Amino acid sequence: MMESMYIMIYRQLKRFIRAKSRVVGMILNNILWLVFFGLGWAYTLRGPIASALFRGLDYLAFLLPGIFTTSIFQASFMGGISVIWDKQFGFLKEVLVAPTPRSLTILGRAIGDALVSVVNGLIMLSLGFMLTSHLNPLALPIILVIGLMVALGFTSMGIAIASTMRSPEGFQLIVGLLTLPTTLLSGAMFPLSNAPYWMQLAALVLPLTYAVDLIRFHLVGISFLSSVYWWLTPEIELLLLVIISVILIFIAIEMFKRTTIE
Amino acid sequence: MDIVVENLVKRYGNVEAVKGISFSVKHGETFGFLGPNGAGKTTTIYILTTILKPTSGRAIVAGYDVVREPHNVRRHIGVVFQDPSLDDNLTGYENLYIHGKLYGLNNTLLKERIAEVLKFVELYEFKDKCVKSYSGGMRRRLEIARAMLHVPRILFLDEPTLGLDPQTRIHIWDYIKRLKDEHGVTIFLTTHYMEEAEILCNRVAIIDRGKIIALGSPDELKSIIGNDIIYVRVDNNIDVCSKLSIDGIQSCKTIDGETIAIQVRKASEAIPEILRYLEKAEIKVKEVSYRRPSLNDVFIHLTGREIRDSGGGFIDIVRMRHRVR
Repeated sequence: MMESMYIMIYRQLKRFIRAKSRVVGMILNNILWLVFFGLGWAYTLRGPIASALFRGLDYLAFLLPGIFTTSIFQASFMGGISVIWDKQFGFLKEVLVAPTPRSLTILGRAIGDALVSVVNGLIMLSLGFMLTSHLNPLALPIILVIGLMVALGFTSMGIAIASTMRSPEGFQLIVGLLTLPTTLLSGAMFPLSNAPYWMQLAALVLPLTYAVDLIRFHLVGISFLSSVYWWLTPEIELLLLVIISVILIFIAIEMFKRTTIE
Repeated sequence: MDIVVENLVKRYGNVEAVKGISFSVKHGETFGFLGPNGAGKTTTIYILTTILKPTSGRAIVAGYDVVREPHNVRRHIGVVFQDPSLDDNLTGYENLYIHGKLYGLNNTLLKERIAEVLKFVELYEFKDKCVKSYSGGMRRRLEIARAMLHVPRILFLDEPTLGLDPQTRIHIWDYIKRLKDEHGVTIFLTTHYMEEAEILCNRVAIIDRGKIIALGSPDELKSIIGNDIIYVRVDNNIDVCSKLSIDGIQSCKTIDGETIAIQVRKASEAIPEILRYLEKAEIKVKEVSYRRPSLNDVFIHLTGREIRDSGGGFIDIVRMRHRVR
């Protein structure tokens, strides 16, 4: 029974490796962000004011955990599109007539896509280790687990939305509309503590904000959120993330069970 | 009985795609659904393969109810859908491997079966090539191989040769015949190619607008008409049939406006007589041909229409000329 889940993980990974242009594009995109955006700002934000703002971190060390998290978020959310491709190219029917529970095949698919987006984040992070010495390499195992959970949650969100849609264009529109504000508000690129109050409230609604802060806490040792909101400790953030991801996984399973061939 | 269908109905909103059909398929039999596009063939296959729920009625496949026990039905069937359902980015081998795992085959058996079915459809040497690089015929063969991988009791083929060139079509027919003869699998296929139904099927149900309008072996169906058919194309829409009164004419029907189909016992004797008659009536004849009855003629006889894209018949030539103009 579990075999059908493993085989879907295998399939998603195989597809990822096969799509060489996608892999290259991903790595290139990561490098561009880090170098042109990260290094650019790192050289701009220097001196005592910046140091106070980032609590003694250089900007790259502040940015890297954030970009690691948002890149996982973006890749996994977008990953839901593969459900629509499968609808269009017919592979979905092959899965639907197979004598295996749909919950397992979709779970396998979510795990496979989640792994792909964590790998994507890791590529970026390994570049980061070369650029700054503030990152704690011992945190790697724990942030991989957190990253995987974030990826599973957002892949599920993508799958849930994709299950209701027919065209990739519609899906891309929704992803585009949600991705940009979520990324900008996540606190990945600037500390939220100085943002207007309403913006902070909007950011706290989005689960990605917790993920960014939690991963930053483990990689550089500072939680920027808990200093503003005392109740948002890393433990609470982790708990919130787990709950949200589990809920999203269940929603994805339910939505996928309901998806039909036209 | 491998398939039993009773009063099956499927409605999409106000449109009734399947209007209460009933039939059954014996074990080891090849059963065909012959009908034009939009007749309800694919909808029926979707219901029988458990991926669409019927509005009402009952369908038992491999002894299980398709609505109440879809899981058990799925274990016993193999399906080749009308539209491709392969993963283009994977190799032929990988597509089969994933399929086998989804159907719970263990590794040793799976490897043997993959080699076996790939050799059966003559794709073994292409097994490590990406499906993207396969031709249409190769893809269809791979899908047939995949549907056979888990040794299903019943094989569903939805328009198995649609869009393939004539040589490839004959090739696929050969595989299907061998599946039936050598493996004894029950086959349910849909087609709108009457030759396909004639060559492959033990029994054929002619389906039109969601209803089965005739059911029997190809020979039985053809005996509904029984005789030769003469096609005459005349100058304009004159109602020739009402004017034609010659001995030996069994029926006369106008199809496609200016073409009439006349049934006679012996065409070679009737044609001169008909021509003489039309000349006397000052009706200009553009073209005459005749043929022995086929399932297509049965369809025309029953519905007054033609199965579209039936390929190479007189009516198609007429239609093509219309298009050229």
